[in-house]
Amino acid sequence: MGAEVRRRAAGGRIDRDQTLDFVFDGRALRGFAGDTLASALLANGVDVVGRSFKYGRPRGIVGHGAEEPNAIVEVGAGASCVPNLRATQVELYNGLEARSIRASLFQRAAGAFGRLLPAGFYYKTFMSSPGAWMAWERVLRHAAGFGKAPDGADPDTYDRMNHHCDVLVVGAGPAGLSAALEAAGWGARVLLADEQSEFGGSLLAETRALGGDSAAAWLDGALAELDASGNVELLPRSTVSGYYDHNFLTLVERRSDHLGPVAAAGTRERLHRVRAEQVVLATGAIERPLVFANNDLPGVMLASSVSTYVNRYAVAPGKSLLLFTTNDHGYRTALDWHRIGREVVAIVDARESPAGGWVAAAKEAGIDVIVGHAIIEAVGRSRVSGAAIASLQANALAGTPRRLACDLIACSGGWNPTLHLGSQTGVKPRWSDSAGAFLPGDLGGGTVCAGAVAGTPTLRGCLEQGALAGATAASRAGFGSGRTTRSAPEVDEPPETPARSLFLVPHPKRVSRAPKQFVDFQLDVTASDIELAAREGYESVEHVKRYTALGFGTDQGKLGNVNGVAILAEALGKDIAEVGTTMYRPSYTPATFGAIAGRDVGGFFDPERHTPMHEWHTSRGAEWENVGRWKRPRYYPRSGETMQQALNRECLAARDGVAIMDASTLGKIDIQGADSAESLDRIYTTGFRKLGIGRCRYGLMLHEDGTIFDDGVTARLGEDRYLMHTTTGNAEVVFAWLERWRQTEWPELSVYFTSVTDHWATAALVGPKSRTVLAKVCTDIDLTGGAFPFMAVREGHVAGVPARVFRISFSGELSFEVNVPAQHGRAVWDALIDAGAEFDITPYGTEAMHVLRAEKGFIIVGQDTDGSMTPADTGMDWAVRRNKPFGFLGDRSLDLADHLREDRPQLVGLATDDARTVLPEGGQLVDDPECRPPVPIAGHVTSSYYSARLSRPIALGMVKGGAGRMGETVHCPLADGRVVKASIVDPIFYDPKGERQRV
Amino acid sequence: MSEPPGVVCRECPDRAFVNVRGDVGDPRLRDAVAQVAGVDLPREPGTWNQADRSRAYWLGPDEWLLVVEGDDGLEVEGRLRSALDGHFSVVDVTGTQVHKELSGPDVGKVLQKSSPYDFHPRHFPPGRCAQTVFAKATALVAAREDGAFDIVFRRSYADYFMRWLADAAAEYGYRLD
Repeated sequence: MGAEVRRRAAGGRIDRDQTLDFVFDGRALRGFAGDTLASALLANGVDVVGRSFKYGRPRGIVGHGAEEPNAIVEVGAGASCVPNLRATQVELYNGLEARSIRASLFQRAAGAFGRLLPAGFYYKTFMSSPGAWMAWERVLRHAAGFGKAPDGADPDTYDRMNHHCDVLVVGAGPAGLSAALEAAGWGARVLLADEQSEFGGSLLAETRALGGDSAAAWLDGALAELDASGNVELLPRSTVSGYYDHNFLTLVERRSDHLGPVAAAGTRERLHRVRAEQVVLATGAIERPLVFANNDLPGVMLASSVSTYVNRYAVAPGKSLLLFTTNDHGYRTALDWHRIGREVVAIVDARESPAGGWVAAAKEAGIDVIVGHAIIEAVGRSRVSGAAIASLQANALAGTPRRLACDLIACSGGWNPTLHLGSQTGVKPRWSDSAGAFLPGDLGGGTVCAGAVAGTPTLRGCLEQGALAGATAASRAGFGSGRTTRSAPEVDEPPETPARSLFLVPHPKRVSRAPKQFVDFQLDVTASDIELAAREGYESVEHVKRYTALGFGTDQGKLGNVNGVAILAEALGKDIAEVGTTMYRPSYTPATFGAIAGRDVGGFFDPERHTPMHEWHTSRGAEWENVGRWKRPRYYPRSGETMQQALNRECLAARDGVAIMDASTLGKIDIQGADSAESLDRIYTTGFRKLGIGRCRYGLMLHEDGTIFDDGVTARLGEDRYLMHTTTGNAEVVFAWLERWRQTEWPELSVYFTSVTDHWATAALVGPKSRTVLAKVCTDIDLTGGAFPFMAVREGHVAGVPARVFRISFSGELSFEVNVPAQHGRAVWDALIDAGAEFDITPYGTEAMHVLRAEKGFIIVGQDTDGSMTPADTGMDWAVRRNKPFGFLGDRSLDLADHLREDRPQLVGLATDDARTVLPEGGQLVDDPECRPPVPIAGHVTSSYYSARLSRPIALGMVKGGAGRMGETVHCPLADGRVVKASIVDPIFYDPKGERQRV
Repeated sequence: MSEPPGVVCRECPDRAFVNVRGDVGDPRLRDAVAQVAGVDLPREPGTWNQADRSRAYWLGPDEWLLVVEGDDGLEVEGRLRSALDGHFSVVDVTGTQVHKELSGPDVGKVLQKSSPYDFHPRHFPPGRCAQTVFAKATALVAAREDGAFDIVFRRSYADYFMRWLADAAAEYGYRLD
């Protein structure tokens, strides 16, 4: 059938002046602006859009929206291509390239193969021999024919936007629009989202008049009013994909997909994160297909979809229509078909005596209405060519089937409310006998359902209920009285005869022998599969879902689930209500990873924190180390230098001359109040009460269980003021720790904490010549050892800037840590570099810092400790004062029997016997290198470096009972099979008396 | 002439920032701040006061950020310290803070892209302030009478923050003054 036959000459919401060329599975085709890919394919006479999942059967377009199970396509090319889109939801653009995800030869060949795959095939095969899955997975995944994820980096931009609104209206059909108008009228902040490119929902294909005018005119008026309202935000092309707790919802807005690949310009998709006071769910309903033999033949469609293609897209997807319905509403499709002058072969109505207004209209139009009958089987090869119908009494067939010729079968089995979002919140849908459908469960006071999703069958009813929902939601959010202020437009609603429930059409052969009666098109689940599952003992609908794959596809069973549940109920002899539905989960339709990631990619993935001297380090070619979010220079290689050479140079400069390090990242907390010392005494193992003003003290911070979690130096700045240093990575944790104890346990203490980490820029000036260098730029502090001793702090000016200078040392050398407000940090750093130039001042990074401190046996919390170590384990009993009046956090736990074991891992130094090999950090230590597994582990290496000063490797490690094993040998087996011998030594390798830092 | 930008970011230099902690019920605290900075400490959570060159932002039940234009943080800290008595804490945090002013017709959109907080004028009218998540950092955001917003954030995040702002505002037209 040619394109010219299928596209009507006039009508629809397409723009015939804008032709669009596109390619589907290699075929060049043409459509119009306003088309979806599906409507354009139908207009071009493309019947087969793919092969089925399991049986390789030809499949055509069934629906016109999110429910489409067959026309699953991959759109675009290269890295920006998107797999798994429903052709019914892809807006056509010029140059669009689409491929069916299930058109491979594999699928075509699958027909014979698929017959060997009964329900539960995977389960039966792979539960008995689990190893087989590993071997077969690749083949089967390919055979499954889902779209292929592009392998290049996504060139497009995605982002996120947050919203707060009084009323979020989901769905801009008649109910949603009415709700939005009403809520906006009361002054509520309204967000109206709809997944389609145009607002209007079913009104876009409506042929009746609303309030005496066309549906299109009413729609235009409503949209203009919403647009003019200052408190409504309209979000077309936005799928509400997730409905989470506390009325938090996510919407995926497709901003540029309808324009084609426009990688560089703007945002492709935007994830809206909505926090709504009230949610109006006006998501409509999806027509229920009818399950009969060979109901998957191309040319079998939903009745509402046929009407939508005819009315909205001006496409007639066939010549002669046979309508199969269980309700009055379906008659409208035959009337639409008749109106455009095409042949209606007959209306097959499963009911005995339908008598509603639409029925009368059909009869009046001369359409043959065959009551009390059903289509029992569709006939055709790759397209419907006819149907077998038979008389249907109660649930059994009567008489002899007869054959009718047609090329299109429209099915209307009633409506399934689109209740997925409500179900996502964890509220099970409930079966309603009167509606003949599952309806949303009780969603609580924050949600109102309106229109077809609430089971409302008529347009007039949807308009009215929508308005009431809008008023109710607005009122609950604090706007208005809850009464509607506007009357719904008049719509001609003829009386209707009750619908008949028909979930599985009988066939002369029994279900297991009849031609396949498909329930779930996407995953090829048939009525007989469900009956088989029931026979094999499955009762829970959730188990049957997993066993048969019913509703497991990317469409989450939007078409098939209810029929499947009903067939299961029948097989189990239960009520549908008793069986219930499976749970629907986000996302309503598949969402891209891009939308979820938003802008948090590349340079925005995780913020980098920079010190005021960052650019200087960059200009000096620093290699970086990430410490928490901070960027710290790791070392500064000169041209041609290896990392080890740079480290040697930096370390020796600190030991012999003068070196400088940016220590701004250390956590700093200002502590004020009369109980500052008491607080510190409770937090730290060390005592602070007697610390003199202007003096500093090292402290260990323990958890309640007595294990070390932070350390640092605290200085007493005044009578009631201290400054605490924390490790870089722990600054926030320690601050929260202090506030937690102050606020929740010790409110009686007069103390305040303020984070000043960012306020201070810190330059650590290190080495025998550091005093000389500092003296050049600091004239108002007496830097001599007598006036300014080790572990003291002085205030003065450095390079003309008010500064605090600490004589503390993490290197064991004479050291001055110069602190200035960060806004002056770079200038003061530059001044120190200038002052040190004549002494070849050497910047050093964290790696040299590690070497210098390891030479001194100083631990790094988190490297040499692992959260299980006590002060005694690290040989730092000297920093613990057990006789404080209040005690300190972790104090009592130090007496736990386990903490007192003598064979606990203890900090030791490790010296390799060959004096050449640098042990690997993390290397395991054993006593007997010949021992066969399982090998008892004596300990492990925590820090290990080459020391340029000592001209040999040094290492720290934790060894069981290590403090008592000085001089003994341990062995470190390496990955390459070598075993390195090392002696247990004192962890202080250099200047054990600490004389150098005190000069 | 090109379109006026939807978002303009302006640096607010030359300000002293002092973190104040104390008991708001203690008149000595309120009086000292009023005397030194000429501004009343806001008692209403999530609000800020302005007087002449000074602003006081509520940060918590016992914590405020005092901003004084054209002054020195250490000196303001010193003056407050002399004027105060009892249990309090005053700390110069000028080095911590970067202060920007965001204005323009699309500033609300950029805030929506950056923070889950509700900055709509109905919820966040002039006079309100909030410490909140801003992209993957944090910021103090304050609504001003002229429709612009004051944004105060940590210096170490400035590079990330300014790149984020420029990126989020690009679609509306962005100018950095």
